Amino acid sequence: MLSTSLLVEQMLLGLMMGGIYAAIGVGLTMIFGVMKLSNFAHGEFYMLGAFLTYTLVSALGSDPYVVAPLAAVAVGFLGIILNKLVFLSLYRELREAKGAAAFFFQDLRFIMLTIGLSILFVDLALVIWGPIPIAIPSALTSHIIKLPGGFSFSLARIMTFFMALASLSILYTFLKATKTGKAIRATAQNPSAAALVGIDTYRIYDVTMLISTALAALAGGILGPIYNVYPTMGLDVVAKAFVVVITGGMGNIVGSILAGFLIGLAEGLGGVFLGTEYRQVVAFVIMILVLWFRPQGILGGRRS
Amino acid sequence: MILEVNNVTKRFGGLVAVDDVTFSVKEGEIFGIIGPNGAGKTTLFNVITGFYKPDRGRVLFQGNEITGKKPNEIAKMGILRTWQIVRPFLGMKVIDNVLVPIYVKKGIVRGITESEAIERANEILEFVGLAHRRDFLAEALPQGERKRLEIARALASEPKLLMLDEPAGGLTPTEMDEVMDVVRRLRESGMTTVVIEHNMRVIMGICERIIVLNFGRKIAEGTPEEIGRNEEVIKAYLGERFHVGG
Amino acid sequence: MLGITKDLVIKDLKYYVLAFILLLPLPLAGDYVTHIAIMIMLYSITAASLDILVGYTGRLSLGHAAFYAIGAYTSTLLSMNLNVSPWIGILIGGILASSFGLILGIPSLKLKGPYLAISTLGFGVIVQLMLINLDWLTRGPIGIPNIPPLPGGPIDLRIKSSFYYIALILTLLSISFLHLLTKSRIGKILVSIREDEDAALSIGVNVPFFKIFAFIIATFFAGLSGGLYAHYIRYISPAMSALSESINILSMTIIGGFGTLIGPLMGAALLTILQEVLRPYLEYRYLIYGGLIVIVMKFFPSGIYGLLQFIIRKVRG
Repeated sequence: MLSTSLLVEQMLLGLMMGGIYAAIGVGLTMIFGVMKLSNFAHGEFYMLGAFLTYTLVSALGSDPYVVAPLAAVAVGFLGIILNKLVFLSLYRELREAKGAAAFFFQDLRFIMLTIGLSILFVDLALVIWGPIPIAIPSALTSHIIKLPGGFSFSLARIMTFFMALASLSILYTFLKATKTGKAIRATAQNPSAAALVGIDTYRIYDVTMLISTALAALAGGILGPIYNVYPTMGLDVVAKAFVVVITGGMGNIVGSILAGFLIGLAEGLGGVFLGTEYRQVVAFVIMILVLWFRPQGILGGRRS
Repeated sequence: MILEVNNVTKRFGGLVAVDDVTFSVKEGEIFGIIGPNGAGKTTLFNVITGFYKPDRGRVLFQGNEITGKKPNEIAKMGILRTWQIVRPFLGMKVIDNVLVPIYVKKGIVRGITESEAIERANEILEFVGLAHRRDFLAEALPQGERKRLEIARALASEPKLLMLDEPAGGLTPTEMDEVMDVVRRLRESGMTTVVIEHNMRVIMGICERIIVLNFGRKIAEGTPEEIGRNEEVIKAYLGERFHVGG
Repeated sequence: MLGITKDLVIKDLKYYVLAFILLLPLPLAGDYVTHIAIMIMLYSITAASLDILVGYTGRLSLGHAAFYAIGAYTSTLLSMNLNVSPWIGILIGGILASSFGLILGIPSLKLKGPYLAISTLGFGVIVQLMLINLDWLTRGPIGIPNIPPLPGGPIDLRIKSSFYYIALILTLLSISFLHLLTKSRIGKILVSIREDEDAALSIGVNVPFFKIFAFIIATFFAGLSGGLYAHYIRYISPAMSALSESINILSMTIIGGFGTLIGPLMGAALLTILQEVLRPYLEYRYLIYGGLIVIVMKFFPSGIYGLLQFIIRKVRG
């Protein structure tokens, strides 16, 4: 009863979604790799990116794919503001924590604080934009591209995938080739050593937060034309983001990218074989398998 | 021989931390393990106490094989250890730090009444000189007292073999003397002690026999005097100041 | 039992009795207040049970609501499909919840920090998905209405004030048990695990055993209170296992002050009352709720109880 074309179509759709998961997961894994912090508000940057894109589209009349990067940068700066207001002081206390229990305390404190932020942001979005899901209009949604093999996708989907891919590639190049990128990797490996060789680690933390939140926001913005935008969309995605991070290896950027696509693909397949209701479970089953058989992730943890 | 370590090897990836080490400890003696930083001393401790499984070799305690046993099982058999960077239960009171091992040793539900447990805990605190700190939180204690607390905690489990990882580390000479005094008094009551130490004053002061590790291998074994004259040992420590005076 | 000695009980008995007496006249304030009080009590049990796991043993769980839901659904289904008395149903609900606690507890032994947190989160989501999808059993996302109330013999337990007293007794029994547990030898062993797992191992503590023990106790009481909830509100749905509900419970535990058992009780009271007080503000409700969590975590990470203790110490000089 299973047509190959349905299978391939779902796999392609899953892969496209995977690009989004990768973009969200990468930011989260960077925060963990560089600052050893688990940011539970991460999904909200994704959500704010989507809403901000919508607002800019409404105000400027331009296409979301043009405007999303702007929204992303804006959210990125929000990330830096949060860094300066709350995150960095908690980070300092985490670094100074002596003993397993003190570390657990500070870690829990940070997790709870970001949970509070998450609640706050969701309600903020609710107040500003209302609870009703919004579709971001784009000219590209109506353009249908026909691919060989009989598959047709809207240009919007393809653009979303392309932009996700592009931003990940830019990030990868940035981390590999630029001075700041190398500084980020150095700080992730050993913050004290990085500081000793003259790296301004606190600036690096700001840059990392900027990149992380901007990427998530971009993912939200470019997803808007395809799926609806609503205040709790971040909550629906944050658990999966963590699954991506764990599957790829905490702190491992390439790992998160791979894991994102893997999970997107697996979800697509899962949807075909298990039915749409069980699609959501796929990501968690993968996580259970990873935690059970290879807890350091497919590529190993704590590297950039 | 209360402890026999036979051909123990432990690797981490490509690095051989402990390389075919063999030695035995006699009951009642104070035995030292020395060597430059990174020589594999703490790794050896971790293998003996069950925190690492050796890649090769065996460890026997009182004739029984303990290779690969879990740390808590080994502790219950009578090997107790302290840590290089001291780790008492900081969020608990000093007395509770000592009570927990007593409960575990004697029986959590039955086996010892609360008043007996407290009495025993007080005795141990007296012995290490911390009785006046009974109700303080462990995190309020200075380094030297934390070290003694850790020894007290180990003693509360009624060890037959006590393993001390750099007990003098980070201590002032006075604090060092206090710790050495505790170890000597323990020996008088028949305790077997294995000590990892950097500080030559401590080693020369209390150890009866010593082995020297370098890059994971045993390079010498003997009395402190013999070791002090051993050329290989002196070479190994070249680049480090070889204090006999502390 | 379980290392809780007679002396411990006698020492604190006066507090439990005092609390009981003080809370007796509450229903005089009317049905609305009584309802809030009942909800606070149910959440107290859940938050306190989570504290055993998070605060005392140091194991972060983001899926505690799942056990609450398991208890609720078990008791509901047993009473509606098999005519089991809700009293027994609630007990079985607790036992089944702790069985799941065991199932989750064993593989999570080797996990710590964010890995543990996310796997418990995943568990909570999976339970919710199962509750939604196994609709032949659970009636799916619409939930189950018209759950039979607790039978009280001659007393009608649908009357809030009557249910209140049952809830009060059960809550006090549960909380006092948990409180005594934390003061007992086992409580100290759990704290030693939180403080330093490896050091605890090195003195002979069977750390895996006690981690599982903490899981089982915590999930049992969560299941118990879930069952009580089911026969009080008399409507349940898969949303009970949602991540947001787990976070709600965790917030109570942490805002109140984790690792103190009393803290979570305060947290449960504060957050439940807050949610009621803020109800007319509808959409702004969670702005304040979220903002409160952020402020407390930034400035008073030891929670309300921690703040209270700090103030008392300063006043004493």
